[in-house]
Amino acid sequence: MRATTLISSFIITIGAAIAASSLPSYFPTLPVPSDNPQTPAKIALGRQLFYDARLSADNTISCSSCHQQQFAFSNAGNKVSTGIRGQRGSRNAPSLGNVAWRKSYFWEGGSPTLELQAMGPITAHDEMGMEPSVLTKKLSSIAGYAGQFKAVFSDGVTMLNVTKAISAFTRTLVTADSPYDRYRAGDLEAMSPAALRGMELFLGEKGDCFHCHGGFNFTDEALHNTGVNLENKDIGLARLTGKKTDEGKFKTPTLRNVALSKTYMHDGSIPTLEAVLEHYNSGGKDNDNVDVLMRPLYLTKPEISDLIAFLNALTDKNFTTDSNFSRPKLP
Amino acid sequence: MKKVLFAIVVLTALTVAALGNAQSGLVNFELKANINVGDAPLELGKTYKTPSGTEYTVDMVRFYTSNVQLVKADGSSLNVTGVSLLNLMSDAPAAGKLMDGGQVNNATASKGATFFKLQAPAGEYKGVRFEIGVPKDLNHRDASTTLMPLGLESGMFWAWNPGYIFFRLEGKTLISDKSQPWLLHMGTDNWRMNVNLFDLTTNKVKVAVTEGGSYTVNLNLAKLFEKGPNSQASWDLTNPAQRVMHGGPNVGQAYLNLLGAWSGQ
Ligand code: HEC
Ligand code: HEC
Repeated sequence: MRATTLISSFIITIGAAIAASSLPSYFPTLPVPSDNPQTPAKIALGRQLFYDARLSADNTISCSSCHQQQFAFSNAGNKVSTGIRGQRGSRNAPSLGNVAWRKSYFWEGGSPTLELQAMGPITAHDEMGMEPSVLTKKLSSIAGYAGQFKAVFSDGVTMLNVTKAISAFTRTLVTADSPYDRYRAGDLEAMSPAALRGMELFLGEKGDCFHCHGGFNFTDEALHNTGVNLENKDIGLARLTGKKTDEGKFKTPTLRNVALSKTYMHDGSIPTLEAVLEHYNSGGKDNDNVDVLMRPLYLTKPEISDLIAFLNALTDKNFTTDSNFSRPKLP
Repeated sequence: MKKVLFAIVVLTALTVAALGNAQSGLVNFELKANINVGDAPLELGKTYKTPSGTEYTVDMVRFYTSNVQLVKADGSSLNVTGVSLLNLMSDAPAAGKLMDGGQVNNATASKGATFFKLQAPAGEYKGVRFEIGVPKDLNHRDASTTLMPLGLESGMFWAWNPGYIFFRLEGKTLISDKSQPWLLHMGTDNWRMNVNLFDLTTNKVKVAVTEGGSYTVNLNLAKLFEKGPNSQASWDLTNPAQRVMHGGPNVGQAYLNLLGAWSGQ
């Protein structure tokens, strides 16, 4: 038993080391807050917590219920998510791939760090519905957790430490091995001719996707109203600022592994990538705050399928099967 | 030997502190609340009815109190520092490590629940004012480095809205024979309640601050359901938007209703 733990933590150490050293050159270094350094034991603890439904009030929902590895840690094509006691939320669960690099969290960017973000799902009554005082008591009573918390943090099981451990794990969810990345690394066969044509459109003024979905993670980390709805029922950024002009503004999502997500936009209202492209090609729905970049693009059918081929080339199959990220044995 | 010395030092320090208080005339005083539904003390988990007839329970009452002021006879006020969190619930969080001026008051009953402890010069005051909420300068500090009653352990950190939940009520409703949670989470700097319990003209309110004494205010939770949002006659817990309020459009009416829920003795 002891030997297996030792061996598995050894493997995790190596895994973490490889992940760090093998980042493509166009990736910035992994941002890690100074008050929550990555350690193999902490990452291993966070991984268990991420998969453990005992973190929810009725022991039915874990982070992994809504963020599933095979879908790049998005929610299996569900438009919105279902939390404890069958309660349905109102938003689409984003992929957690490369979540460490995001500048803010939630669709309207209201949470500044991964650690603070983790408080959201744990305490939300319609997600995991857990009271911090109840959770810390519960985890302390599970010997396997109490021991690990003591080993990783001097003050043992606290809510802050729960969020630190989970975030240490989610920071390791790096996806950087799609056909697009292999192509950039010099494997000229990695992307199909259609995907290469799609990339030209994506990065050029014709498709004009790069203005918002630019950079190594295909996001400008900014908020835009892209005319997803005629009426901004979910007001997005305006919820934080109270400004009319911010209604319907949401954070640009990453497009890595987007083909695996199967429901698109903050409300999951667009069902396929074809429909997403139709949405962009039409210039979006003309609500009050639509971004100036949203306008009819006059893309032809073949151009649209090339763009879709490019989006498909952002799928990293190894990310969805990497055993460092899968469900571990729980204490 | 060391221990004895230490004990002497501590004892001396305590004595000096006590003398200090006596000399400056500061006494220990508490603000207490009778948390009621109508005229009767709230019983957690008991089934009540809204004016429109929906059954509900209250399982949790929690709120922050800060900016406490005792109003003097001349209308000026004495400011009392500190932030307190009152918890009336099962599994209330332990006080843990407190921030400077922080208090956690875990109540065991809804009658006479201490919600703020203070020190003030003894004397007769004409009233008391306080805010239900966290002061602005504390509300937006990094919650991961802030101690109780703030911070993540408090259970009042609001992950998806700025700052903390100031006033938190939770319970269950029975709608079409199905038990459903209802909740009011009120917060953000717009919704800090100002409670003013003083009356200089009629002299009705008297707050006698004496060592170990207290002043009790009433908080009638039934008031929350009196007037509905959007000029509706009463609150409608069968409407999901009025049953679950994490802030949002109906909080304005909840805020107004609750302002009228406080009264002095
Ligand atoms: C009931 C489903 C559900 C559960 C359980 C859940 N999430 Fe989420 N997650 C979502 C949804 C929906 C969003 C988008 C919410 C929003 O923006 O308001 C989200 C957003 C996020 C984000 C923000 C990503 C970004 O780019 O902004 C992170 C990080 C995250 N979740 C991590 C977690 C962790 C860690 C857990 C477990 C502690 C967890 N989630 C549990 C559904 C869920
Ligand atoms: C004005 C900035 C902007 C431009 C230009 C833009 N996007 Fe987006 N994109 C966004 C934002 C913001 C969202 C999220 C909108 C929402 O949820 O309401 C989004 C969402 C998406 C999604 C859904 C992702 C998911 O996980 O739900 C896809 C796919 C997408 N964009 C592809 C594209 C393509 C392809 C182009 C070019 C044709 C493009 N975008 C141009 C800002 C932009």
